[in-house]
Amino acid sequence: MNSACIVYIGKYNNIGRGLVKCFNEIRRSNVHRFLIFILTNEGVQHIIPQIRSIVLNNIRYGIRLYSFTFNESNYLTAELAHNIEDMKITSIYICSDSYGSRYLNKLEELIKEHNIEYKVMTL
Amino acid sequence: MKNIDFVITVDRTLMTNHHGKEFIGFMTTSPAIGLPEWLWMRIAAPKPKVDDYGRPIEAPYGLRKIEAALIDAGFNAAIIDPDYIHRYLPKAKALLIGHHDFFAFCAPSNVWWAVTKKEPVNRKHFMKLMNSEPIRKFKKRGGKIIIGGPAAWQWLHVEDLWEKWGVDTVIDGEAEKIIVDIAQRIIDNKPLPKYVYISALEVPSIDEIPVIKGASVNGLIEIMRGCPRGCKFCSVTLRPLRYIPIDKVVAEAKVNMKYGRKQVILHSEDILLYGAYGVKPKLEPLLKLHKALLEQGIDAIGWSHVSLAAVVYGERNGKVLSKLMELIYSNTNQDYMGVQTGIETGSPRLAKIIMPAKAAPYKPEEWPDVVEEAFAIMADNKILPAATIILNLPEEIPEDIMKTLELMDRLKNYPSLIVPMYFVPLGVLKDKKALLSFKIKREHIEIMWKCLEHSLRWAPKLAETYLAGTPFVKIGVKIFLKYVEWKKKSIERKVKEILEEAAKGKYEHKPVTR
Repeated sequence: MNSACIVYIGKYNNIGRGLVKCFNEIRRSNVHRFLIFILTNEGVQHIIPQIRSIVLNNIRYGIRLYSFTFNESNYLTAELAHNIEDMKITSIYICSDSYGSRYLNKLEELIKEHNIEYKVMTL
Repeated sequence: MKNIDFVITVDRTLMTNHHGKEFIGFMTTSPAIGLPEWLWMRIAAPKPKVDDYGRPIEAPYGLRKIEAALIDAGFNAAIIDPDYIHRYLPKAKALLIGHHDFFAFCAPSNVWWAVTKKEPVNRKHFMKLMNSEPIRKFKKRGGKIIIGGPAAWQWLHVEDLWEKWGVDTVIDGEAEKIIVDIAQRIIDNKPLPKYVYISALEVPSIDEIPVIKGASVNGLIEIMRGCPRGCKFCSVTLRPLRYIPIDKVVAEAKVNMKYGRKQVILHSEDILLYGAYGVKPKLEPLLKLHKALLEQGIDAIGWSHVSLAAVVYGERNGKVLSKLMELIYSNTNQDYMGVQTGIETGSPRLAKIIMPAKAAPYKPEEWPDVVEEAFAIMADNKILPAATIILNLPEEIPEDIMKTLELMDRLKNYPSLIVPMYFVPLGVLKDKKALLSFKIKREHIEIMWKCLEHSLRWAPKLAETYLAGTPFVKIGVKIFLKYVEWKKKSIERKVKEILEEAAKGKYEHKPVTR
């Protein structure tokens, strides 16, 4: 089963836009399962309204959603590294807004270590 | 048993055996009507028997599957009655809760809620459980809360409660595999996913579905997952079709018997399609299954659901239903069977659009005839159906409602209950405000009224048969029915006025578009 990873980094009110952008990109590939990481400034109460439509529009795919605050960015990189192996991730799509772009370098370094295809998009 | 790492529970409306009468469970989807709530709950959801450790002798089947998956993977897990969780939560690592309608957003809870303007008891008791002191303390010390079950989708609409109660993970879909991974993450102190959706490609295979370790409520045992009919309003159809092998079904029956449960309720979206050729029932696998259970000493067999087309096809081609009933009635003490089924609409036009294979192998145009023939066959075989009609289906127009009313007239002489359900379209699910401000349209009142008349005609007679042996419940149900009868009379004039206005076209009907 092909799995792809989506990483959104930025303010919570841009999550919806960011994920839609990633999903539009991925739909062309033969992916069956998505691992979604969100690094943002708010908790689940603000994240869920942003992802509700996206989840309901994509119920044919498997989804695992992790969210972390900016203070927990180390968790994101650790989890991403672990899951690249564990879930056999074939591609990574990263989207950030201007606020989140400061975290991109670290993430890209990690992904390059794993020699995996990835794409970075900005809002 | 001092400690349990993974405590599995649910509120009282599900942690009960409904006095051994599964249909009584429907009362937990409604607010208390005509009775004080404490009495309503005593009738609908009595406390179950528990062992010295607070483990219920019978527990909901879905929770049993999760318990079995965790135990098989080597975790210390047990189902605990909600009145006893305070014993274990101070040291537990995680609290796992599964439900089929946490917030009463599903039918029929949403219909009763909209009609009575009162919160159904399932919602109230779930909220009470989550706000209880043991859970608040558990969360305060960092315990993990994992949520699952068929109503997991509802959490996407209650983000405020998700945050307030500190729910760590919501799992939507068949969870037997993922729960092991989640449990390991909890033990390893790793971050947990906030939300997991299990797609059709990730569901457990037959071999990965564990055998339950303790008795299930009223001996319920699953014999199939998924459904081949592909109705547009149903999520079960998204799952791949799997038949549980007879040896596994028998193994679960033996577990139930070990705990004194000699009755079995076979669960599937369509019992008659067990081992079927597509949507055409085959007698042989069904006979094998039932004989295998009877050979174990099972003394009563119930079915959860049948489809009406399967009833008709099976009977026309080999008397499948008659032969099965003959086998069951001649080998047990039972002389009737209750079963749930779906009419959904009386309109062939609408059936063709939203459930084109519901009548299969017959054509959607034949649907009303199929329904009536199936009701006749069931009546001949002493099967008492509780049937649903779905209102507000996408693309529904007034002519469809007329066709449904005509069909209901044809069914009035068959002993049955007919319950209206209100369809919530996907578009509404995406809009939290629309979901929570759900209102019943005027034009549907006539069907609801007809359902009420039909069910009130038959319910007292069915209660005599179904509730024989549980006199306390029978009295309670009779009081409730009397109250509903009285209430019906008191609102009859108002309803008729509404219907007359509707007939004059006062209430414009706009078909739902997606």
